[in-house]
Amino acid sequence: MISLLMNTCLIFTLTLIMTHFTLVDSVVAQTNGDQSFPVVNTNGAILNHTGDTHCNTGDISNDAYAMLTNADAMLTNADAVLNNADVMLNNADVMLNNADDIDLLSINIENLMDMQVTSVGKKQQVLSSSAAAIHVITAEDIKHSGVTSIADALKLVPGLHVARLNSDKWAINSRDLGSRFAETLLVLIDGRSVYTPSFSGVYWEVQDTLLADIDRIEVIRGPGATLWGANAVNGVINIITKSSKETQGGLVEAGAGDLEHRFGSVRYGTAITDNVNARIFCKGFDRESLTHPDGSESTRGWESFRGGFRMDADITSQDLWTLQGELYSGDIYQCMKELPILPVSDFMVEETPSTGYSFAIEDHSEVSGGHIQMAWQKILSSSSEWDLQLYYDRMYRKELFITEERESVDLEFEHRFSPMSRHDVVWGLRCNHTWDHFDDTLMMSAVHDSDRNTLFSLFVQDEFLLIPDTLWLTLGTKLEHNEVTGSEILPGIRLFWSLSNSHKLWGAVSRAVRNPSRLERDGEAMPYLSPPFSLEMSEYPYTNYLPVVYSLSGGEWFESERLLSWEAGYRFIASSSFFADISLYYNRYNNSRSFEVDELIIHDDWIEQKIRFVNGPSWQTWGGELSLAWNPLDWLKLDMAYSFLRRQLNSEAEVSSKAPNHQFSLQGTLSPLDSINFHCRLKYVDDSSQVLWSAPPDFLYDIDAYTTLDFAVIWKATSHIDISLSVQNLLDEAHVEAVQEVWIPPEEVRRSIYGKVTCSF
Amino acid sequence: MPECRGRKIRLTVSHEQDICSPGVGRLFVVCLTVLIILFGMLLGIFPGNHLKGNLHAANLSEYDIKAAFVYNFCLFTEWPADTCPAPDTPIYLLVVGNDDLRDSFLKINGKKAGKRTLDVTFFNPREDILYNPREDTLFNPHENTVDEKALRRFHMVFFSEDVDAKFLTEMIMVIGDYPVLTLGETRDFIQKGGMVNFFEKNMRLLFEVHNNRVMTSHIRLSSRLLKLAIIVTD
Repeated sequence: MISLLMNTCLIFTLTLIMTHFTLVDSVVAQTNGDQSFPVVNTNGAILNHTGDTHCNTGDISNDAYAMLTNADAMLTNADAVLNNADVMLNNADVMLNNADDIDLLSINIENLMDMQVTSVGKKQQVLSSSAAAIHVITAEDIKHSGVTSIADALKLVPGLHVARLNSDKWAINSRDLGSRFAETLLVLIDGRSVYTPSFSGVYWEVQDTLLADIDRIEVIRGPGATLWGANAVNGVINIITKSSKETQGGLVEAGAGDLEHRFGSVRYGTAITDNVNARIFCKGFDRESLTHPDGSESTRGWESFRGGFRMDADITSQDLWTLQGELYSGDIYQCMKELPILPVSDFMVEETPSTGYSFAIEDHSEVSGGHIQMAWQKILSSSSEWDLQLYYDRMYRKELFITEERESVDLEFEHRFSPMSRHDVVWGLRCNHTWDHFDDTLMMSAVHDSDRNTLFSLFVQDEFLLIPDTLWLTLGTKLEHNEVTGSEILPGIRLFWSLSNSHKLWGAVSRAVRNPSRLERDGEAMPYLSPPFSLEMSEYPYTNYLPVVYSLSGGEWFESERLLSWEAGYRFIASSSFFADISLYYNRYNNSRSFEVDELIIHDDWIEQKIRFVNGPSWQTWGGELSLAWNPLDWLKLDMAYSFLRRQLNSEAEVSSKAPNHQFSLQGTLSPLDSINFHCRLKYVDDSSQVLWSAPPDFLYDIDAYTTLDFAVIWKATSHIDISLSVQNLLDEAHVEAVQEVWIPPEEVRRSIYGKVTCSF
Repeated sequence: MPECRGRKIRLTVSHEQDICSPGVGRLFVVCLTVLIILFGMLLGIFPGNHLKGNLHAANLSEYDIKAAFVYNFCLFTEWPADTCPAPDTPIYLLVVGNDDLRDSFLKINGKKAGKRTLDVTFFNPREDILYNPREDTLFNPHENTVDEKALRRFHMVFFSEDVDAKFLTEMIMVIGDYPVLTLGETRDFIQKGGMVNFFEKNMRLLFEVHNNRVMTSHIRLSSRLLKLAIIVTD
């Protein structure tokens, strides 16, 4: 089914490209034959064919108005001419691009309204005016750094801990230790939440799109619950794709490497009518696996394919409609090593391992899903607009230990307006309904195979200008109701103080909540099977002869996690070429996820150690982030980031992981020639330790500090073709960045290289 | 093929059976696939249209486009007869702001809008610099007040976003009901008493017009202009 879809899409896209080339060729041929190459003025005249010249300014008399009306009629005709004159226009446009001095006056007002405005320093504008620790990854950053996935791109953000577990899995968190099961990060792609309620995490391996179509990734470190709701505890990641107006034309990318075995993508965008733009894309890749710390190869890696479309329609200048959809499917070959198998007696005779009963098995996981999303933005004025968004999302995931199927429907309304001159109010409503189905295994099961949950929320936030152009106070709260834990109130207060154009201060106190995942309330899992020899249970003499099965269960007793966060920041904008951003925070978590050792059940030939998910005692984190951006020369850009993090866990905790205390990165992007761009990134991550169920007695896996050096070069061979080469991990052969707590053995990220050719037309 | 280390055991656990129900899920996949393909065909029907978009990619600054808008406003605005006694009276435009806008607005200076010529004056309030060959003083550097008479002589005044809020309010007060079309580019420009405000949304430039205020000043904007504008009230 999926391969059929893949083939259809590929054939289809290829046909599209072929058609396109044929047409362009014929246009060129035609023009050359004519020998009448239109120039700028011709273009101007065509564009000007809308009656401007008929309209004498100064005094528009009634006659003139009549003429105007006539001119409008002519306009319609002129439009037809316009369409016919497309061929000429196309060529003229090429000239336009070359000519710096465009006769702006010849462009009529209707066309002016269609022109794309790219404000310089938009990124800085966002950065310098928000009362939160925000970082923006631009499309340029993504392009130049040679990253191959969204998760990889997040390595560019200071303060995030991004570590690769194996070929397809990432451990990402903000202001805390990154983990596959990090439960406190909310991720949105074009406003669609990709947070998975089953384990409160994000399946990073399936969050993907054409990287060239990403406009920017906004990362907000710290709680964003007032605006985004529950689960935006440690951070919010907003991935925003480009409007199809900006992705006109074709793009074909193909590449190969050792880790990025082969990959390719095709996108084609066009204007369907003057006001409707659309694009269609497909993307596929085949990635190799990483290696185990002892040097042995892991599994076959993974492959994935996805296709999608987006259409943007400007019905009027005030109404913007967007329709987008995407489908994906992937095959992941993961090595599952630490695997408890029952009944124990079946293998006890055969195996006598010293480190646990670990049976390596290559699991072929299947993932698939898709979404369809519709949005309507209505612009009422420069300070007022509303947005309505509806989406349906579906995911399916079959792994060795569980099969999960989930569908959700989400309806959201947001209205921004300015009731009084100093107030800027935004309020919104959201309703989300999700239903799931689990197919259990011995390793993991849900008590209720299927479940439904509805969430309602209402939020209101007022940005109040206390002192004009100087001091802003933002007050807001969100009320959220879900069927599992009831209602939550998520208030926040923020203050932004603009001391001058170059000095900005901000501070915030906010509360955030993380709802229990499906498995914390309703699940059972077997994270580890210990061999008969077990020191810590010596009070049971016979345990020396029996294996111990750890069984972890959640239940109704598990409550929401809570966070109270204090933040402060300072920004210094020296000029357009230097920017500094400092943020500090203190977070206090209550009821966070913890484990409690429960009763020990002795069976005939094995022992069951019950462990429960519980809400642990409170703990704290504090730290800070510093980032500097410096453009000393037009062709040189330097970015430095440093982040510091300390965790203070409660003293009773027997097993406590450790987040990397320091992270440092230095990036340089230089383009000495217009046609060449170099990017170089050095990153240091301090040592950390992670919970690993298969590593008794302390259940911790220590990860050494590591330094990575990545290098990417892009050569613009012609105006249509880019050739790029990326090397990752230049400094060392391989290193472990993170481990998954259960079932998956540690894997090392190794040095890798890939090359890519991008053709745009 | 690289191997997963260790012994391989195939488990026969219950997940082997496919639970992907043939109901809603598969239907969704089929529908979306069909939609994507149809969509692609739709794009196929309009090949080459995207090249028109190249105009958008032309190297124009935001102020170039704003200047072009202002020029278009000259074409579609009617001032009362007493402010333009002759059909060829120049249209006097004052651009208030820093030097960043100068290059863009110089492009429309001296251009013909119908029979009338556009005459642009630049005023940088931070440095008290008035840039125009004409001798009029607009701003009295010693007393820090706006010369009312000079200000009211203009047909249009464009305020850039870096104009100080207090200064802006003061100038708008001075203009009062005089037939001077005030144009701005800040979120609260209309709230501060301005008439036409440009703002960027989804990478396009839109403009809102407080038409009641425009009419109070006896200025008339053409219906073609108003059709494109976002009309706002108090």
